[in-house]
Amino acid sequence: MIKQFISLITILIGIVLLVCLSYLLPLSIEDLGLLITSFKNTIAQIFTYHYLSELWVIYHQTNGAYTLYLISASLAITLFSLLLYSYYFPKFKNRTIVKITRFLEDIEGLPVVGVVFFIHWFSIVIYKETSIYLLRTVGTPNEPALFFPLFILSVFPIVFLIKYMTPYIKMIYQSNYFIFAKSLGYPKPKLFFSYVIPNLLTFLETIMKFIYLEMITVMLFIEIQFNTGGLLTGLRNTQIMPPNINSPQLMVISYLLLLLIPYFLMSILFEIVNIFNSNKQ
Amino acid sequence: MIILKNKPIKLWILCSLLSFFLLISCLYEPFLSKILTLRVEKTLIAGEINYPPFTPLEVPPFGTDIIGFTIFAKIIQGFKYTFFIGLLLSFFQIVSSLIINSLLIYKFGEKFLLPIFLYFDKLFSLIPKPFLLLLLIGPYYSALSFNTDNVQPQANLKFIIIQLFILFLIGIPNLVKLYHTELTFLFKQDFSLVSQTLGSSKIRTVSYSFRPQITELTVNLFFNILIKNLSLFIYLAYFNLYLGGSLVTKLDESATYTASISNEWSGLIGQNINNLASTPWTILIPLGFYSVLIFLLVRIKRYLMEEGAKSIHSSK
Repeated sequence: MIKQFISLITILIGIVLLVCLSYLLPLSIEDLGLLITSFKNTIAQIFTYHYLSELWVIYHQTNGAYTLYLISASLAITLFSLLLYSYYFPKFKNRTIVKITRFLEDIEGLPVVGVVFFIHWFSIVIYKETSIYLLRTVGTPNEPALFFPLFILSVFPIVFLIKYMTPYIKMIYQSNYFIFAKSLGYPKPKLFFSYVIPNLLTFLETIMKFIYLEMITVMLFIEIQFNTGGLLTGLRNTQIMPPNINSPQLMVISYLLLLLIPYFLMSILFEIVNIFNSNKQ
Repeated sequence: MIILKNKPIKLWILCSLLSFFLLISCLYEPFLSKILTLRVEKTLIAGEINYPPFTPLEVPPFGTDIIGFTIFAKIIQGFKYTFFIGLLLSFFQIVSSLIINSLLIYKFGEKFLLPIFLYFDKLFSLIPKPFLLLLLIGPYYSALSFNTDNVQPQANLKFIIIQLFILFLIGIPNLVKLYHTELTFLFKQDFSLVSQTLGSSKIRTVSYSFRPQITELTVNLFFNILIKNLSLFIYLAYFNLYLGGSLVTKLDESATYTASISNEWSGLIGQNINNLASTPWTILIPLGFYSVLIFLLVRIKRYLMEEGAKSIHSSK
């Protein structure tokens, strides 16, 4: 626990240093004193009550709830798809699985930006040709688009998760325990919920954290392209329009912290589950 | 080298296709640029003089951008730059991480160097990659455009080196970590323990006993990092940070058009990024070619890996 706490602190210090460094480039390469002063000032500003209240204001002003709701919804869809896939996995033939994995590998490599642009253009074409306003593709921060962003945000994690988890799912279904229980006549749904899901969860820990970080990256393009507003739009805007009130470094750190809070909470949750499991054993 | 023996026909076809396109692209400057239409400033359509941009139907096969440069010529010209920049970057990343890992197998490296790389891997993974690039490359881009009104080729060379160096640094920690994980796993295998008990040094074990596994891993990682780097180039383009700098053209009193100097594909996408509604072909066609290139690389990697696995299996 202490080790993880130290790791968290060093990571936060690293983020602050990296952001300070970026605002002093290319000068800071020659003058390290400048970087240290900037780092000290930023740290002093972070540890104030005013800053904490400011974080909350930033979250509301930039429509942060939209970003986090969309990511949570997408995570739920991804997990549900994985559940469905792992439930119907034994029904697929080996050759079909190989074909699915290969197809997913091809899709996975495609640039996210390309997919976002293509869907955006496609909806414009449909609107131009048929005058049918299928689904909102350009929103406003007050009425952001929902369907297409959610679709794009879920596609890549589903592809990644299914591709990554297939060997583990296969391993679980081929394990001696599963075959023995099946031969004893246990119903499939019971085995799925009591054996397959708990075993899958152990592999999910690292992958869920990774998927969350990947989703943030995809969300950056979605928010800008669909003009939805959100934490990542705010983060990008710090580079276009430097804020007047706070120092620009502090604003970037605030956005990064707001984005990473769910990640750290997820890590803590997994840690607690692990401790609980080890005590149980 | 086992992997490169007994190449299947599909692999041959894909590699020749890639080489063919590269050859055409390399022939652009000395030969093709004299034959192809590079710029259409105006054209007569239905008895009326029209000015750019032209759609793919008006100027086949891919139309022109806002200032009349044909997308077809730009795509041919830019392919070699995109591919070779990505290839060079990935090659240096792979070689460097191999060298770093040869230090990490010793106690000193494992104790002092490894934590540093693991730390940076974690740090870089926590910040969204496109934003990280914007943070680190953006300031250099601003410094360059504020300092020089007339961007000199020397400045551009310096800028592209800085960009590539930052991309190089961002990719290294993850590669080092992946190599290290594989090496740690291999060192725990029976054959490695036997080889070391018989007196083989660690470096010899890696270079001789692990050669088939390391070759396979290197091929896999090389293609992965190449595809990842190509994606990073598009991220750069999305934020108008062109690889190798850009040139601003004044269209009229209020409008300007920024064009990539190196003409590589991501720059081509980046310079038209705001024109999706008005000239979609200027973005979607280069993006399509980009996707085809990535698709080709994914396929080549797959066939190489499959052949490698077959060869290792048959040699056993």
